[in-house]
Amino acid sequence: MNEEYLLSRYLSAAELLPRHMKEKLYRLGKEEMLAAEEIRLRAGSGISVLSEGREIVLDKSCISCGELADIVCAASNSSIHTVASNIREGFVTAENGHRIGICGTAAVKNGEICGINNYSSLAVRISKEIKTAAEGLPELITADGVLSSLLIISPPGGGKTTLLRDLVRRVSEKGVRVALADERGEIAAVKNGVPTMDVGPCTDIMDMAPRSEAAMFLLRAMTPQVIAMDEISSHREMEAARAIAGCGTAIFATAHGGSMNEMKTRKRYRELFENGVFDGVVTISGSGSERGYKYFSRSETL
Amino acid sequence: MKSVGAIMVILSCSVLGLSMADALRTRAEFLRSLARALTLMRNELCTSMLTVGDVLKMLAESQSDPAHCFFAECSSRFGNESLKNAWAGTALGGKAWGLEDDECRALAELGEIIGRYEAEKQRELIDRVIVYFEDRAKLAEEEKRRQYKLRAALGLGSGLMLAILMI
Repeated sequence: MNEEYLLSRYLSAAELLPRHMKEKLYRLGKEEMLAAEEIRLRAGSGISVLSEGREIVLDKSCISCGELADIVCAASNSSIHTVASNIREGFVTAENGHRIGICGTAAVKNGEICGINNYSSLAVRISKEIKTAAEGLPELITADGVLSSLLIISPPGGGKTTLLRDLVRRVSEKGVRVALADERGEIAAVKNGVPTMDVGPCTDIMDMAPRSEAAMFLLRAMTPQVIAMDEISSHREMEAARAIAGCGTAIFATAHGGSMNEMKTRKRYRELFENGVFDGVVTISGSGSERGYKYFSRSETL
Repeated sequence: MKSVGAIMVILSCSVLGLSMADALRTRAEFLRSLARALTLMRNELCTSMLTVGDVLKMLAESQSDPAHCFFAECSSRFGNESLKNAWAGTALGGKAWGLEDDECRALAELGEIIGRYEAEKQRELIDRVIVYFEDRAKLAEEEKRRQYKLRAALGLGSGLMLAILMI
């Protein structure tokens, strides 16, 4: 992949941090910068970069939880109120598509997390657009134009979102109407209504809304041929996936998981496979340059 | 020559008196328009959920002077500076619009609230500042009503006195 692009993504993620932290990130070796996946900050500890699966500690000088709060505030354009629901889910997505995972002391009400006080750690996931990510996947559009539904599985940080983005772009470039439910705003990284990531010319995006609601909204409003959504895991999201499949619309989705066999043991996913919601499943293994895909047809998911 | 000098003194003192009276009017007007603009800002932030940057731009465009000047300056500073610094920097220059020190400080402290909390918490905190400025606007209006004519008359009167002494 283009070194200049990878470097620009690393630097734009570093831009989210205050100057003294940025300067430490600029000192990292070029190879590590190019392979960097995450920047990690911990209160009372220091800055490290996750590159090729290992964490490189850049500095051990103390970061305060106030500094972490300032980073989150700046990433929200000094408008925490606009991303409060995301923060409750543990993340905030910056304008350029980088997702900041948040950890700290949870405020709990009625058994649910209603806020996070005293941030203790941040993980800045460096968002990258890889336009070759979906190369090698089987053709999802048949000769007579029928689309296949696909579930992408990998452990966290395995590249599901990158693969989904490229899949959406490729299908959209073939003239298929794609509706994208981008809850975290990291697939298309929409700014002022315009996606900053390439998701294809025929893609309609609803971002920052809960996936299941956004998917049903898009189904009603935009008459899509495919609905794409990242990380389906809750009961509502499963129900939305079932409803979409029941309407004759294809679905591209991702889920956390280690292997196909593991997914079969999980009741909710097994039911989706048994109901024929997905025509195929792709598992991602490895990381960085070692990343590999394995495709399972519908019969293999049962 | 003496008459010309006397007329000049009378005019200068009258202008001085009028400008002192006008400062009362500007102050009352600014406090009133500030309270109105802050109410609008609270609604846009906490109900429409707009970002602070968008709200500042909107207020800079929609408000008339003197509130326009405040939001236009703050909006242009925000981006080059953090919101807290941009807001505080603009607010602490509030003396130019007739604000007193404690009013400048109250306005500057609002920079530590906006954009840093969830909508409901923010609404509660902004409301307190609005009430404060509404009260100050009422007091300033009362002061203007009591002192506007007095200051203008004092200017004219002292001009006349000086002119008589000169002649």
